[in-house]
Amino acid sequence: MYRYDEFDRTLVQERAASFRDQVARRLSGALSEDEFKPLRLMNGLYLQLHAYMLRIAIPYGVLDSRQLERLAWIARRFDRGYGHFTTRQNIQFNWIKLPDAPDILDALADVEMHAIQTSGNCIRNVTADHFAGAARDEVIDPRAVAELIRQWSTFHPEFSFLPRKFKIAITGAPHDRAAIQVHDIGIHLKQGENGVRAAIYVGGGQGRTPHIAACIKPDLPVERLVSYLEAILRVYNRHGRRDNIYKARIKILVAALGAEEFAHQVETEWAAIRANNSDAPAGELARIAAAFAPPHFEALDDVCPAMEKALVESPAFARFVRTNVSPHAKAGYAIVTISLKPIGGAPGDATAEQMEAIADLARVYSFDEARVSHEQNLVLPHVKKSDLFAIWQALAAADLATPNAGLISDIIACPGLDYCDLANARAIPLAQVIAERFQDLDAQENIGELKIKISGCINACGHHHVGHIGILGVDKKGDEFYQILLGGRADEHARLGSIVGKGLAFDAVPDAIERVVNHYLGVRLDERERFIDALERLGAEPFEEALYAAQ
Amino acid sequence: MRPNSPPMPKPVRARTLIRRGRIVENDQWISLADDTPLPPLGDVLVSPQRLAQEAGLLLAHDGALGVIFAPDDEPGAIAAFLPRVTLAAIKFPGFRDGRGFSLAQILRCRFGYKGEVRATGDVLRDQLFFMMQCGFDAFELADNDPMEAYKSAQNQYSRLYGADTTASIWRARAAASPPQSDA
Repeated sequence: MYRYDEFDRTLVQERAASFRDQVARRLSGALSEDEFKPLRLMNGLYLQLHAYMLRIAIPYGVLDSRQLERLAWIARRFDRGYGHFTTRQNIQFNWIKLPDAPDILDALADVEMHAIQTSGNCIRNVTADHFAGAARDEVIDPRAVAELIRQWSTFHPEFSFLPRKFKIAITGAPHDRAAIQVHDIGIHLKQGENGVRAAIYVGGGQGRTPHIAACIKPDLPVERLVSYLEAILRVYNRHGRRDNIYKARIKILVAALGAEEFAHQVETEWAAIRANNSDAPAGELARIAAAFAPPHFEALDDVCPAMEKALVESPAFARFVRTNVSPHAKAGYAIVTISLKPIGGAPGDATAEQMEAIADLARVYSFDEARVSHEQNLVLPHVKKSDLFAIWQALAAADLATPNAGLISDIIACPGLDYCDLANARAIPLAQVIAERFQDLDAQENIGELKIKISGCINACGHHHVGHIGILGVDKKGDEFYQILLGGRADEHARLGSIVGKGLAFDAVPDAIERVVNHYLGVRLDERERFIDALERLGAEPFEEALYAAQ
Repeated sequence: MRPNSPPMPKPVRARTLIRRGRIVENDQWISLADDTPLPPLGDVLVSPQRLAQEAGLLLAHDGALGVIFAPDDEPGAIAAFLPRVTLAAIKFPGFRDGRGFSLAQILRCRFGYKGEVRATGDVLRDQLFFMMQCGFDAFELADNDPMEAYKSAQNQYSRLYGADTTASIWRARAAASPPQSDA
């Protein structure tokens, strides 16, 4: 993976020093909270319901063991012994004291990490396919381009005070695991005849006005990516709305102008900045890409007798392999998804001990690498099939072997009313009761792939618009209600779910979901027809009727 | 109680002009509203709209010519006159409004404007470094110690990545190890 050179290291240390100075000025009263706010937000420090929350970037979701151990240490030393992995490949600590924040940033800088631009109206942590460099279907490893974008966007002098936050996601596989079409900019890398090409999607997003992105540049040479991004950002910075924060995202500008006119303005801007040489020098992308060269895989048979034997002997292991293990590009290797969704747990939470256990496994079995997925799980990207049984046993010992990746209890949920200042309703407790309702592992596996996504308010941090079943918490005269959406998806066939019927009380949600699921089980063609396939084949109406059957 | 201080009225601090690293005590520019008659002489600061409309008069005027841009002004409309302009002031109606950063970048990079680019309005010391990178070289700062603010901003980061920044990490790396050909 990428290692900092002296330049990267210096910049992160300078950031930590400058934030230490800003915190000191705030604590002394030289800065008012109003003046401090944009500064701390540039550094991932939020004021929440109970305390400060620090959001730390895990750029494009890539972590090594040392970094995971450092996060565990921070959880223990400065928080309450756990951290929360988010849908944006960040980790959040929810119980931070302001005077500790500078020490945490120093501790992060030591292991080549930071909290730069994890909040504020700037270009946020760039996210990528969590199976990058490992997935069997991958065409281009997106990590080098993601790191180039991380560098370019770090303290971009022109784009640090945008109308609103700005999120970029990138993939290099035909199956989109990075949800690129619901980002401000989505990048899909492909192999062209003369090098790598990027398809550029703009104006996707969730929140209160969800949009699927439009492809405005299908075939951009990757060498010209930086100047093209610069053109998009400049058009947005100058013309995005600033009068209303709910209309300030680029999706509103793209929708107002129309994708074609927006693309035209970007082309004009791009033509004007060509001469400035803002693209990365030839060689920089190659230098970065060298850091992402494949590790030293052994030449193995894809069929592993030891694993086959264990599959027969241990049904529990076999179940875990069916649900949480994905095909690797390299024969004899596999990708393990570590579910952070134990039945009844808070989605995305991991204790310090669990982080350390995963760091150990990554070090011993996965070339020192782990990943964070936007579905709030962790990943061991490169493990030998012959090691899978030992890994599974170690995960089970750390309460990390829940065999539910991609299943109905693998729920995305925002922090909701338990932590968040903006929330209208609880999200985590709802995820817990739904997971408990479907806790039977055979039943879950029988239901198959089904993505439930829960947001505690209209800002949609829990991605409810693109859940196969989306759940949106709303406040009605002081009571929590939940609106259900059906038919959303965030993959390469991205689509927004539509809200069906009236909101349900907290206690009514699990029953309603169970009725929809039972309806699906009754109408599916066979076990291979997933929930989302059946819903698209039959339309949402019968599912909606099932949802409200008891009302 | 939440550690959020209640909103307090912000003390009005005097603005200090710092130009290319020096405090300027007597700023000579006369700021003209669009309907204020042109004085017979003196250095005048006008809107780009006025410059476009009264170009003949203003270019013949006895005194230096400055333009004050609102964040949504299009500099392209007066690009032809920029070689005669010695001050481009850019208004920041609020520190969160980042349009002025792009305006400065466009003036410098696209139109090759060489005169003074001044940030005026709601400018925070913590924005100075970014402003310098975008081509600002003068700042109207409401700060208790504007010179200290300026100097610490200058050294906030030794380098940034972008190829078009003044001290680019990418360019420094390329200079240290020029790309090898694949042949």
